Amino acid sequence: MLRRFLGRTAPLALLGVLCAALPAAADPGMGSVLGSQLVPSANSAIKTAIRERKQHDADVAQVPPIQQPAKAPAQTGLPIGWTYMADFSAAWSLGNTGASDKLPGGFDAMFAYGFSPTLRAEAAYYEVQHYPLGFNNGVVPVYVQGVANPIGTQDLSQAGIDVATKDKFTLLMLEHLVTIAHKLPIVITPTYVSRTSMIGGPNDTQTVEANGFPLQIQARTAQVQALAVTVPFLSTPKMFGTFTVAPSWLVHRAGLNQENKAQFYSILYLEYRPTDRTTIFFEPQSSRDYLPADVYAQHLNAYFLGISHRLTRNTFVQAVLNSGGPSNYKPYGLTGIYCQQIVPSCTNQAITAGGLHATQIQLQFGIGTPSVLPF
Amino acid sequence: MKLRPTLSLASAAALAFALSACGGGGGTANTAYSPLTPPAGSPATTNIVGLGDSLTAGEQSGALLGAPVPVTGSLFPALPPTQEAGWWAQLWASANSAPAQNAPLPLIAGAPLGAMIIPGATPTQFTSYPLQPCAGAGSQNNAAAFALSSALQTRANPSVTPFDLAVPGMMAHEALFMTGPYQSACTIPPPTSPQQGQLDMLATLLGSESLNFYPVLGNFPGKTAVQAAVSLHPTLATVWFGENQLLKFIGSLGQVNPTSPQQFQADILSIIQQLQQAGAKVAVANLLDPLKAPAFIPQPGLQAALISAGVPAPVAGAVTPAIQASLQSTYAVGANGYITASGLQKIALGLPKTAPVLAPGDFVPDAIAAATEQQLTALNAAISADAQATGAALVDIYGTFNQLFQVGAVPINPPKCCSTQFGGGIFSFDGLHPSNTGYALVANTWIAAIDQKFSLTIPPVNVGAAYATDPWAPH
Repeated sequence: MLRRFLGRTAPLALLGVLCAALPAAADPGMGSVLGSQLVPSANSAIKTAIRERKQHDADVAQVPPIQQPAKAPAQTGLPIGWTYMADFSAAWSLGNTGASDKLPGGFDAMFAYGFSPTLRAEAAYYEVQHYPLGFNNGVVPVYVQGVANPIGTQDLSQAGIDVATKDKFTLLMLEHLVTIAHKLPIVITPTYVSRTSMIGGPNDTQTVEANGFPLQIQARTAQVQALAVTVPFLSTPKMFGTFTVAPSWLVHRAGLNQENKAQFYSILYLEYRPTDRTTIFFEPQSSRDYLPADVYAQHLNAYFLGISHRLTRNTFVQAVLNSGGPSNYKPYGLTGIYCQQIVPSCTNQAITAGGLHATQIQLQFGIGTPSVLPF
Repeated sequence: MKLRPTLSLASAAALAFALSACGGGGGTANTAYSPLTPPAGSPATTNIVGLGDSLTAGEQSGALLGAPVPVTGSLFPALPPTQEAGWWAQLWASANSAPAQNAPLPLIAGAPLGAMIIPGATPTQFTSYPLQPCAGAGSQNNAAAFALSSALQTRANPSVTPFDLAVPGMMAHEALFMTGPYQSACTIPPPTSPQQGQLDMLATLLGSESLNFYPVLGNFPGKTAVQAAVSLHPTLATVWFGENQLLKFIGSLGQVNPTSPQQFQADILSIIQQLQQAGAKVAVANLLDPLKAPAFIPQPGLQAALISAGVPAPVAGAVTPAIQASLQSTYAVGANGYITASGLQKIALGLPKTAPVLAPGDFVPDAIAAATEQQLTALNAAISADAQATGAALVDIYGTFNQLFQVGAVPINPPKCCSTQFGGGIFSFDGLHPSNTGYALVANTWIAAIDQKFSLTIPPVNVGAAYATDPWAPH
């Protein structure tokens, strides 16, 4: 009887509350921002270094006549001076996310200053929109705080839950181009990332059930420091590939975090350039998100598949399909609802969630240099 | 304070039947508590902390009250304080050689929490105070209890840190994880739809702990009952949970089973271990059979109950077979089922109709009664296992009351007192919570187990003295 009545009433009761804030850690996670900001910048430096190295080798092979003055050493590596990029984006979620799957628009920007071909400082702001699975479908148990057994169930498809999420990343990076044995250019990038989010509303504050108690946390707010190393493994006129590994640590633990061991991001980047204006790229990654809602880091497996096209010298359009979810937090999505109060309805809820998985397409229109095109 | 015209015994019993088994009361002391020097040979009794529900809080007759409240229109000149009459206060008094009024209780004053069932103008008539839980005379404490900012206003001793931390209605899992009341308002809106009515039922099931949470634990904001107990550095701790799980199961007709026996065992184990880690010797009690309490009337006893409720014997005799047949066919209440006090009231007021319209809480079908007995056995087994695993003293409340229910009476003042029947002197007028005399018997069960387990010398409570001033027992 109670289950039946909750099945009818809980959607109404939950509507106003769950719309406010729920977790969404799905997504490609931190790897996305490294993949979209750090890797392309490192790639451009490596490409330039390789190109210049090849040019230098060619020049050496064709020694000029003795009367002809030798060429000045070419600039190899990172661009010197100011560079910039800005874009606006729209995104659409894929998969069974229910009716409330409208994603907000996004904005990205990057400014960098190259002190020398081997040293550049960069500041970037990056937004990624996504909608995790498991919040608008399925049936989850409903508990009353302090009562061990569920008092009923909730059909999430009837709850009107909005977990449209916009993650916001601010990055500070210092890129060092190092050439090993005069042949292999690599980029070492100390990185600081501060992230926050909006989940179905103006912020990412939510109440989660932790160890039997309700706990209010900022579910997707964290600061991370990392040391990334990017190494090339493929360079042809049409193709290019790198591998980036980045040990990282939380600046501080928060929420449910239990430890702060080094987490390793691994990002493979592979691109194909059919024309001078167009680049197709594929970027699988194994990354680690460690957010306040996570007891231990989420082991995310994600990929990006995109195409970028330069419209004019300073404008571009880019489309990216990305998908990701953790292998160590299942099931995906909302797993339980805990009512803190029951009069006049089930309100002040805390929730429990498993892993968060999302798939989306993002379309970007920008000025400057899109992240995957060479400078 | 004028009372409503008196009600029948049946309506009094109806008022008494609180699903949450709890509401509590009284005491008169309002001085700051400081632990007393323990009696010689009883070093464990310096800081006695109580965790539990209404039975440990000292609830009687549907309410919790710590200081007398004058009333008119009743055979009682004043609502009697209940908290100091409870077994925990009596145990504390024996252990500390001090009056029970000095026990560190969260004394409710001015008006009861809950609604106290008291005699009306004649011995067979009953009424309650307040008449409305959240409106009118005597309702002020019920209205103030839900908010932390106002809950301590219900107390005679708001600045005193209570050591009896029992919250009427509370279950073991709630003691571990509940940090605030479930309900934000005093009144539960009248049902506007079937769904709303169902939600009200849930609220009713969990209402008592919401009402009593902050008045008891308001001195420990943000803490659970167990966390509050640990913070008091107890030397001796009493733990008694479980009756409310059974009563909520019964009251919801089996739809709400708050805790599995396995979870219950884990919860009790956690509570005991946390208290032991805080340095306490721990005693844990098992559960009496609630269906044997006078709040539950066996279906075969319907005719006698109707007569006790004021129905003329010929009428009761004539209608009972038809009513019993209706109970069986409509509500599955057969020879092994029960009618509650509220159900009895509806049947009596509905006469001469013999097809009563009842609601959850008015009756206990045979199947639910059988399931309740199974639950009781499982919960008591869990408590025994936890006591054995932790070295806690096991207090056999089940055994004490089972013996009482089987014999039916204790010759304290024969032939007037005392029996386990409604008004017989062992239970108060809600039919669930003991009288002063009944609580004295409970206290002595605790003391005997504690003394034996921990080699203490807490003297037993004088049951005769408790009876002498017992407002709930016949004299």
